[in-house]
Amino acid sequence: MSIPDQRRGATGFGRASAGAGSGAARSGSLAVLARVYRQTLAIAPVSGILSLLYYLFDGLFPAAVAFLSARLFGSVSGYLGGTVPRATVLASAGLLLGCYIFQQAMQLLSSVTINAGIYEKCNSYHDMRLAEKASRLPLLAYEDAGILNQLARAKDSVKREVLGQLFMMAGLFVASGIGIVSVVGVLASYSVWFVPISLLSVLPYFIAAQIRGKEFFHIKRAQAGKARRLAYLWGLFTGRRTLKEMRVMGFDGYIMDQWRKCRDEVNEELWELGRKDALSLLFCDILRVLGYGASLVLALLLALRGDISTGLFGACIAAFLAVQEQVRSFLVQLGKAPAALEFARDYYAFLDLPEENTGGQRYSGLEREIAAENVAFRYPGSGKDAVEGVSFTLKKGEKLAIVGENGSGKTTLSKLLLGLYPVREGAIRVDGRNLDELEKRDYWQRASVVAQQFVSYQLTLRENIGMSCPACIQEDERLLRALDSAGLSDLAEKLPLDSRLGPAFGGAELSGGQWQKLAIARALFRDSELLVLDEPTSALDPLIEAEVLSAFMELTRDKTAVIVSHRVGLCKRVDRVLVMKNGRVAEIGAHDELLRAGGEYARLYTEQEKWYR
Amino acid sequence: MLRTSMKAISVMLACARVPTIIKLCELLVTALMAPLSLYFTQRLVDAVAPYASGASTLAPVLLWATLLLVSLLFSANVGAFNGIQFIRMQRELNRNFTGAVLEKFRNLEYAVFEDTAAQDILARMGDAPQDKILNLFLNVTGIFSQLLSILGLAAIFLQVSVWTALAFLAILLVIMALDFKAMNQMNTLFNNQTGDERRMAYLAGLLTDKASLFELRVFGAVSYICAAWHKLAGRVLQERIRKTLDSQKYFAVSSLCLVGWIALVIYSLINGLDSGRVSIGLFVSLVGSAGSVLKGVETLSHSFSNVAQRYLQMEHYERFLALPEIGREGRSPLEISAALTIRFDNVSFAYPGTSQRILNGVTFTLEPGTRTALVGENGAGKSTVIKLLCRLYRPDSGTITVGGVNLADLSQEQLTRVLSVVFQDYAAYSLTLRENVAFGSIGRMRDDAAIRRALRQGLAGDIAGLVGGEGPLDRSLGKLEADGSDLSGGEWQRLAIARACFADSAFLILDEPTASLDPAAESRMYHTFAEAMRERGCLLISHRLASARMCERILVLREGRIAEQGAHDELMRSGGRYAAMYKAQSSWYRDSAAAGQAERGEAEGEAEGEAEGEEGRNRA
Repeated sequence: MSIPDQRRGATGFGRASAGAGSGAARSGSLAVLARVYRQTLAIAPVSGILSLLYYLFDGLFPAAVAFLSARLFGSVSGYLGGTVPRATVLASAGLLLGCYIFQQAMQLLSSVTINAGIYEKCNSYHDMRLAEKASRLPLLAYEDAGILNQLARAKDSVKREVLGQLFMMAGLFVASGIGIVSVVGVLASYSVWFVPISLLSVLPYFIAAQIRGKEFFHIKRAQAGKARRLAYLWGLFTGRRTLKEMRVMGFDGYIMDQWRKCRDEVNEELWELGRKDALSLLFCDILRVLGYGASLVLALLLALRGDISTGLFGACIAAFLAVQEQVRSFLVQLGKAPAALEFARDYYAFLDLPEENTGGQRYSGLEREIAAENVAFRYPGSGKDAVEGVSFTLKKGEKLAIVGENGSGKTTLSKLLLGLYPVREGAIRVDGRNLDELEKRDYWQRASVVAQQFVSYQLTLRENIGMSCPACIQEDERLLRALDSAGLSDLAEKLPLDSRLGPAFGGAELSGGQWQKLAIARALFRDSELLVLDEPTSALDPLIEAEVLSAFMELTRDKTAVIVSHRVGLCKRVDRVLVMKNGRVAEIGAHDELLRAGGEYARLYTEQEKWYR
Repeated sequence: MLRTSMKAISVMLACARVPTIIKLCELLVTALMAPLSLYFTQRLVDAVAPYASGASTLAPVLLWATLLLVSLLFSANVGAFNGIQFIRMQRELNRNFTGAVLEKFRNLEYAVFEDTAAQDILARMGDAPQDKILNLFLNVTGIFSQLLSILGLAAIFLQVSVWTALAFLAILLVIMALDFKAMNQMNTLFNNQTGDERRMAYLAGLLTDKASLFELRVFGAVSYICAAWHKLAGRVLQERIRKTLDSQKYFAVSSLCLVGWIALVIYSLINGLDSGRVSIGLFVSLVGSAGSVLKGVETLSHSFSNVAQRYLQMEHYERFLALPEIGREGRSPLEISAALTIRFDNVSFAYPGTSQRILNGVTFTLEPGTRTALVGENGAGKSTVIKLLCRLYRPDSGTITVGGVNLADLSQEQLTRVLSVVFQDYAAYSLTLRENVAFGSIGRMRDDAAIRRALRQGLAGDIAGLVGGEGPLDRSLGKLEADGSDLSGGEWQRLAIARACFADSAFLILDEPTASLDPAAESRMYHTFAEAMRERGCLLISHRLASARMCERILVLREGRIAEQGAHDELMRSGGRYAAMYKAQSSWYRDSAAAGQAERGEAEGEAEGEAEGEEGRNRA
């Protein structure tokens, strides 16, 4: 027998997500629920409707059983007293049996539709929606801690199958409601007395729910900073990086003591909370049994007075239990709902984030120049401009190096030139047209990049190169040419183009230098007129590094290029050098000029160069 | 299965004796209460009719009604009693069990952390192990309790006939077996991520990562990745739906059995009515129990299907306990001072489970108070030397000695006084600034002046608002605390260097100390470095050969051996590997660009295809 709502034992809402949509108006619970239903019914209409029908039936089932049992017991009483023929007993029994058969069949059907439709199909869909949405966000969104949190929570809600569960929860909620009303209705048909009696039997539940508040069946958890600290300290021992350092430097004992201290504090807090919780739960249970007891006594009195038959009295005992069970389930669903809704809200809030504005004006290639005019930019959540007052012109065919200290705004500037970040002030003009208004896809189509954090795709060799031009990914000749230009012809000899690379899926393992050259081959593979190269800071040994830098220079031949570099030595090979300092342009000019000028560039250059004299 | 169950119970008894015993008793009582309440219902109903007709007194009615209520009170399975025991067990486990697990982690051999086979165990034990044990215990005892209940029910069926009772048990067995199978099949489906699913997760990761989105967007390849994802998703969905539907056949058969059983009960009860063996009370209570029996069977099969997975947790726990530990005690009374010499004597080493010798007869000495640089290509084994020196691994052959004493004979405490390290993958601690520095020498936690000095030596004097090294030392760093200030990569690295400077060890080991520093900072670092290291020995690994040049001795590691050693000038004169690397790097600063080009051509020919292999491990 499957229990649909328990299908995934591990899933649950141990911790409610810490509220927090970034400022935007939170949609109401009903609106979220409506959206879940609209979406689910759109993705899996048959399963959705069948599941809802099942809940309707499920709600009526206890009443049907109560009704048919009472009838059966009544006829048995009569049969024993000699007033009812055996055939009637058999017929009543047959009806009850039929009811169970129908219930089993429905359950089986719902198990199929719920598992396959509501969970599998919908989850697959939500997963896709999430990834697609993520890929359409402005790149800047990934610098925003609030949005990253939202993404993490949205992912979490898909992983926990929260949307499917909400769909079901709401169904169960309604089913329980129907259950309560219908069982009470059946009982009332025998004696109106049963209405107050059954209300009496469930009243304590509602009182208890009031006492315990929203989280009726949820043990509250201390979600204080201490728990986070505890988890953090614990993690120091389970990660190899920190463990080895703690061990070699000899402070593992100290951290252990800190953990123990923190644990004892958290433990006592939890204990206090838990005890209070348990006591209030005890109170609820006593109330519950007392309510049941009271209704039992009343039913007993009715039976003793002869108002109801002994059989009916027996049916009542079961029916009261059924009502209590329905109420319990009703309240459990209600208790779970806030946490689940919070997750769903996170998911939808993420889906509703604004997407990348891709401009719109057609663009058909660089003719004269790209010019930055008094450009300023700031990262979200930062109080300071990362780049400000930057003006310069990059002529077509010119090679420009951007140098400067860590955090001076080099990489940011390169992203602004690509139109990946929106400027806050000023403008970047491409042949006089504002880059913000150009169709970015057109612009990017004529650009190519090697990122500082280039990606090592755990895909095939073909895809690693051809990713820069998916349309021409089958052109083997061209792929091999790109490999060759990046100095990787030996790799092409060893590995077929369709062999998988990287350890994640058991592909061929490459060295850091080889991955870097692959990124260069990828940039080379696509036709481009503008190149943005960000030099890697990762540790490459000097020989590989020399090869990579030379490949960079090779790449820029006949192209307009921007090279972000940490090694000023490279600057002698480019037309002009732009020196960034604290987000501003400190100097711009040719290597020799700047060296003679004796400014910031000369300082940077000599500081590095002197070690190689 | 029984053995594992007993083990779980015994772990609980060891870690949380009192609440465990109480819990076991409570489960026993609850188990018996379910059939008893059925029996009380039966007797109550049977007592009502005679009283109503005046054939008996009120006493039996009151007696059975009271007993029924009491039994219901007990079987309330969300009872507070239960809740309190649960919390008590949690608390005791947190105190006794979790601490022991952490202590085990603390003492694990480092090799375990790099052993892929052990990763799964570490991951599982690293994530709330106390909950896993508790859940297993509750699961196991729950099953015993439910089985007991069912046996009790069978006893009640004995009143109808022996055959009914036996049939009841037989059908239950079949249903349990079927449910168990079906649930197992579903669970395997959920838990075994297939290769396709892992690939899907990887592709989705590319779409939600800033670094890859940057590339993919410029390249216009986002839709390519989406399409690849779609293709996999379609296949995975089909497979999952197929398996889900497949498992439903077990449910179908078990549903049939249940229905058959209900039919059997009703039929035999009606027959029993005729023969007088069955009273109206028995009839009412047994037919009325059908619902709760259905529920009970569901719960039982659910518990069964969960327990299979949870048994694995116990297995993981046992394997975790069996993992090798380090010894902390030493065997040598060696007095650690700054005048000791470290010697590698013909050391060879291959990582466990691999045959490739990363080090193959490495011999060198680190003299007290001397700066030594270790250079070599990616994957030459530089980081491995450090791991051996830190005793994270032991050499396969050859010896490492400190002041003539085998490194293996030193206590952990002695070792920390021999060396302090800045690892390539240095850690950033979301604790206070003071702690971050003082971890270098934990005993001097309150020595403010020395901490500030170390911060300056590590060029970290100006971070976190500590301009001029005057800011408060007790401010929190990192994102853990709400008021914590997060640092940049370069700042964390400088803090790690300050930490090592603070240590009063005889040697300081720096693995790529300048990787995330900009050139200006790098240059300043070299200046202060020389000063800070005046009295201590130092081993430096760097790709920026300018820093190697600053050292008195340079060791060039190549193909698992020390290929060259000597001072910078000597090595340049001998024109070997070091000279080639140095020239390649300095060509970028020489006047003629053409010279660089020529150098490159020469170096490239030699370097081809050598950087493979161990590279990944070093950078990991």
